[in-house]
Amino acid sequence: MADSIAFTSDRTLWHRIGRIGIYTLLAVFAFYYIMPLIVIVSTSMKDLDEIRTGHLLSLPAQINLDAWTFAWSEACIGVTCTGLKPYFWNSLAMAVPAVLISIMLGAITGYALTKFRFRGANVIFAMILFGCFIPFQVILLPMATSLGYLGVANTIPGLVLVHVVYGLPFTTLFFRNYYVNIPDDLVKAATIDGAGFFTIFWKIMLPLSLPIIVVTIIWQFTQIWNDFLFGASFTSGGNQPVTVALNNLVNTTTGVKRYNVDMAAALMTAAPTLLVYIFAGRYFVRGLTAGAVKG
Amino acid sequence: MKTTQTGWLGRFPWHIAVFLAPAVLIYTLFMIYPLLDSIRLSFFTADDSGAISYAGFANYVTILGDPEWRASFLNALYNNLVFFLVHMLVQNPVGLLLAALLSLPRLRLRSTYRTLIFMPTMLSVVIIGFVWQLILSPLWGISETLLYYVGLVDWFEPWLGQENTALVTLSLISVWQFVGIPMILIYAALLLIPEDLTEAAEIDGANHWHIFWHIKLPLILPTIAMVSILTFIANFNAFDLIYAVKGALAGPNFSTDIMGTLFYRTFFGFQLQLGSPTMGATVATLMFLVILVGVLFYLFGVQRRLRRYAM
Repeated sequence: MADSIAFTSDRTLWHRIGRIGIYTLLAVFAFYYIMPLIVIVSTSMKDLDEIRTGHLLSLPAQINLDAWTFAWSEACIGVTCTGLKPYFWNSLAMAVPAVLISIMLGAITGYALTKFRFRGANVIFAMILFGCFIPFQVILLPMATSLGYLGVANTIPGLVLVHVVYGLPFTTLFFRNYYVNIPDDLVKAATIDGAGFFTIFWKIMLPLSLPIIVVTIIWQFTQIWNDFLFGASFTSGGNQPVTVALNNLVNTTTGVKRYNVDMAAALMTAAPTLLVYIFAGRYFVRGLTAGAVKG
Repeated sequence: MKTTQTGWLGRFPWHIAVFLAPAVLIYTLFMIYPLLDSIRLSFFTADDSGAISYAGFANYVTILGDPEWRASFLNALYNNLVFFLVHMLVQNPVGLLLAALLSLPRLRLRSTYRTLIFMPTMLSVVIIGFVWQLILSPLWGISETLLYYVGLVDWFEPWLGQENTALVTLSLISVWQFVGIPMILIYAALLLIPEDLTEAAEIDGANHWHIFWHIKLPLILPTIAMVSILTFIANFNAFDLIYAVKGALAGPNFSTDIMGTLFYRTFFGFQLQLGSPTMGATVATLMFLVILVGVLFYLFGVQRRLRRYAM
């Protein structure tokens, strides 16, 4: 009896030490992750004098949004001084259609591949999956040729096309793996009731797909919004997406280095993906556990 | 399975072919064809006028045989391997650790930690590169001050600017950004483990450590294997962080040059060297082969064994 009491108190002591260790570790991680964020936000609100004399982590003496308006509408990107504004709209005009189209195609393809198994379904899936492994670089030149041939080189629709193509393997993979876990009986029962391919998709599959749609939106939107290589390779001048413009803005070597403007521009570039994550993030883990990504 | 299906499900489904057609068509036209065309192009060479002619393996012989080309190719391959290994040895174990901590019962502020650590993965690499450049800068940065607070100021060096530290520093910046991905994938896998499994062990007196090590870890091995192959693919495709921080020249003195930046310079040209689409295609094909070897190793070496084990 006494033994077991000693054992339990020993256990709670170790338990407590363990907990302290865990929270300390997590606090260190939290600091390590929050520090750059503080640097970005507080620097974007300081004026240049304050940045020069102060400390990167110190809070701004007063909130000053001059750098924000400057980055949005006046800063020079290359030789044109229009601010980030036009490039931001470019990215939005590129990301929204590309996300929607690639998700729609991925959902239909994933559905056709899982619920109507036919000869060759696995071959098609393997081929599409193969696309997840292909380095961007390999398709760069022929893609540029194709875009030129279609007359959409250096345009936003051209970028939309590229992102739809490159996103398709991932969206198909996500939806296919999700639909595999939805019982076939549901589809069979509906078929017996006379529902067709598209009715089943619309009335049964899509309403069940919310978690995976959220995961795919987050994934695709982040990938497309943050893309740099395609934007840098396929567009120039006023048609560039915001990430390429941000890189040019930050690396412009003429004049004084305005860290506050750079930081404000970085925050603007980050805002859409962060908003998507904040609004849809709580569905993210739920969607992942629902079987989006499995070994 | 197929033979039990009756009626129109069993016959060749033309209407399904119609629904599959857009994806398959777009995909073949813009993915499979470009891939094959790139590989084809790597067997050609261009003269000064830009006209191309068949050259057999000449481009490959140049890259692997010409001393200058070989040096830069091997340098990029080696650096890429280092870049990958840092992710494998730091990012994935830390991701596993964080996932294990976050899945502990009765943890306070769980979702705050998860959100915070996952956040950088949502940001553009350009932003991450730029912020860390500023933080690590000897002139403007705060890393020296922070090291001073913990008494390690002597350790401070301009890590991003030195040939022998720049690559590992960039790798660690990338680890910082992407550790959320293994964390969230492993965390999701841990959540899927049925509670009766762990409860039974808890009743038998096993502590969290034992439960994790002997019950949970074996069950999430497939996820860890998948995270590893994703890391491999992503790292051998990497380009933008190096380009955003160091430019296409991947300085200092090419010490941060990886396959992606080597390709970019070869393809688009830099300084006095003209860009060469055919040599670029050759580098790209070699990148593709490296990744293919890794993926095949995963599919036939790792995943098959794991599946047998899991069953």
